[in-house]
Amino acid sequence: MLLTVALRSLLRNKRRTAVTLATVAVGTAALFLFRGFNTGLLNEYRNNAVHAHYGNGQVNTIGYRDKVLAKPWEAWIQNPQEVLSNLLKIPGVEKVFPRLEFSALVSNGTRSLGARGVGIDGAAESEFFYTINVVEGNPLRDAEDGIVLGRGLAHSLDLQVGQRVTLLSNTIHGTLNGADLEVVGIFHTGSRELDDSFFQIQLPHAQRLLDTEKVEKVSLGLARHEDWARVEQVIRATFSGLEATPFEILDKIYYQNSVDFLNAQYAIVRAIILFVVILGVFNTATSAILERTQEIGMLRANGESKKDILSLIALEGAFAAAAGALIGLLVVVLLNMTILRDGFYMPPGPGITRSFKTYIQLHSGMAIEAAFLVLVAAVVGSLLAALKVLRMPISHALRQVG
Amino acid sequence: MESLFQGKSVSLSYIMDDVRVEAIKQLDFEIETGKFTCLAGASGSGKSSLLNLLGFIEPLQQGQIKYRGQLISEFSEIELNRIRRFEIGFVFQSFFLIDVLTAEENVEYFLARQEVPEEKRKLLVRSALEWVGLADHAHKRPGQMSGGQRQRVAIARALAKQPKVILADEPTANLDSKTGSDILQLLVRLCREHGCTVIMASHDHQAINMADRVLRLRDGQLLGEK
Ligand SMILES: Nc1ncnc2c1ncn2[C@@H]1O[C@H](COP(=O)(O)OP(=O)(O)O)[C@@H](O)[C@H]1O
Ligand SMILES: [Mg+2]
Repeated sequence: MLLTVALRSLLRNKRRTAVTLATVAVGTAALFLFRGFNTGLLNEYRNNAVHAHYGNGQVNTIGYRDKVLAKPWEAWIQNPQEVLSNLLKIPGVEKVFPRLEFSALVSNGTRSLGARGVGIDGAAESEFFYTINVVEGNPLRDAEDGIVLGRGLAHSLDLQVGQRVTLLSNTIHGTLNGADLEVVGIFHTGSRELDDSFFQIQLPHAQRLLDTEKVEKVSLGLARHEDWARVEQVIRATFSGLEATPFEILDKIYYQNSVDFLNAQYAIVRAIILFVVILGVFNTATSAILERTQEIGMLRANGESKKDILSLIALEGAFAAAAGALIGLLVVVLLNMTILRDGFYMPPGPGITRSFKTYIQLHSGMAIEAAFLVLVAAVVGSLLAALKVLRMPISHALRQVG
Repeated sequence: MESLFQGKSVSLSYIMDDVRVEAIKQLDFEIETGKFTCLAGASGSGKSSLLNLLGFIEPLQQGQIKYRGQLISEFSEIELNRIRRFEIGFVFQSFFLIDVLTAEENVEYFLARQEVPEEKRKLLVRSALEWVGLADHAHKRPGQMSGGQRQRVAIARALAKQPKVILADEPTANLDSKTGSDILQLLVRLCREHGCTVIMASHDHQAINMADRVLRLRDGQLLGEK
């Protein structure tokens, strides 16, 4: 009976119901879309972080990342070939990238600068790390004596692609060692730290330079980042002495901060949208309820409690809101299947130096969240509107001319 | 005869634009169970105010009113709602039907809220509508009915609740005299046939003539009774 009254009352004033519906639909759509946009953006950030430098995560000996070691090479990974092939056997792991980081003097013949180098499997990495931004020349690939430098570093040493550089470094035994290499590429990440002091050479060169067979760490490339937790689990269980760290932690500065930033931004936008929905629904519900003051008075004269009336109003609000929310969600899904389908370009974001394409990414969880929040806001809006009528004595409500 | 309502020094005033209007002044009264009582008096004499107090829809400000021997100031909000739901039927001057419900549904609504089981409910609704002569109009909405028909629905709605008392505030004022007379007859029969206490506010002569008892009001005071 309550249901009948609620539904028919909604149909009675079509224009007003339409306004409520539209308010709720727009609110839901805005929340849903914004959430989807953020998720798409985060996905791009994640892709960028994963495919620019870190991979989905890295494997090193336990505690290696936290400790400051006098002789770090003692904590490097032994038998890298065996570890690599075992890591590759873990389901979900597609690529393994052994790495060896060291410091060296980079010299152009007349001037030298201290820099951080990393020995990599150039051929393997060039494909996976496709978002690294090579501004001149090429990635390292299989250039045996090649070196790829950060833009700042190249600039400081006045180096161009094709020129030769000399590396000077200490072996792990403390003796001086050197290598003569040719610049094949210059990269630009947007991170000053990397651009001003980082370079890549082939892993065998690095190992020779340091006089070691070990590698420092192994970056992992997964088919899907969602598999990370499982992969980490397997590594903890079966690789004694090794631990795995996801890129979110490795790339705290860019990725995690971006996540936090976007989430904070979403929270603010969400609060604004919900506030507007409450206000909008309150507005239309107020006139709808004022018009029904006498009806409400009559209901109360016949024994309906304030709570009963509030339930009736809430039910009406919820019906309209549910319909509106559904419309809002559908519109967003349709938009995303049509005009937003191919994504759109965004200006460079944190850690990304070029404009990039992003997509709206929608999940059912977001839809439920958006619809639920807006529904609650709409019900709150209608309840607030009902309070005024409920405050007056019943006889006053009955006397009121609608 | 036992009394349904007993009032002692009841006063009621409204504040409107900073002006205090005394609608009821130091009123003592008694209303008997099972009788048809008419509250008579000119417009503004306080009939509605008194009726609203008796229907628990206007808060009591001063004095005492006993309902079935109990002081109404002692009822909790929950008890008041229960009394309104089960023991009182209202008939208003302007009907106050729920527009979006049919005649039948209007009558059924409060029965459903009384949690009368569906089968019994349908029975009560049908007999109430038959009793007011609207069996054929059960599926019409208020907007499709005349004033007289709407007031009949309102009476059927009050009757179906099987209340102890029916409070009718000028139920014929919005109707032509023939229709008004019919409605009045219904209310009188309601009292006689169903043993319901009916309290009706009206300045209609016919009503005054048919009532068991008439309380005459003027300026919120009892002028006399018949
Ligand atoms: N809500 C109100 N606010 C202010 N004055 C009121 C209100 N209701 C009734 N009155 C005044 O109280 C007096 C009694 O009114 P009422 O009980 O409605 O009389 P009746 O029903 O006999 O016409 C009148 O003077 C009327 O103007
Ligand atoms: Mg009156």
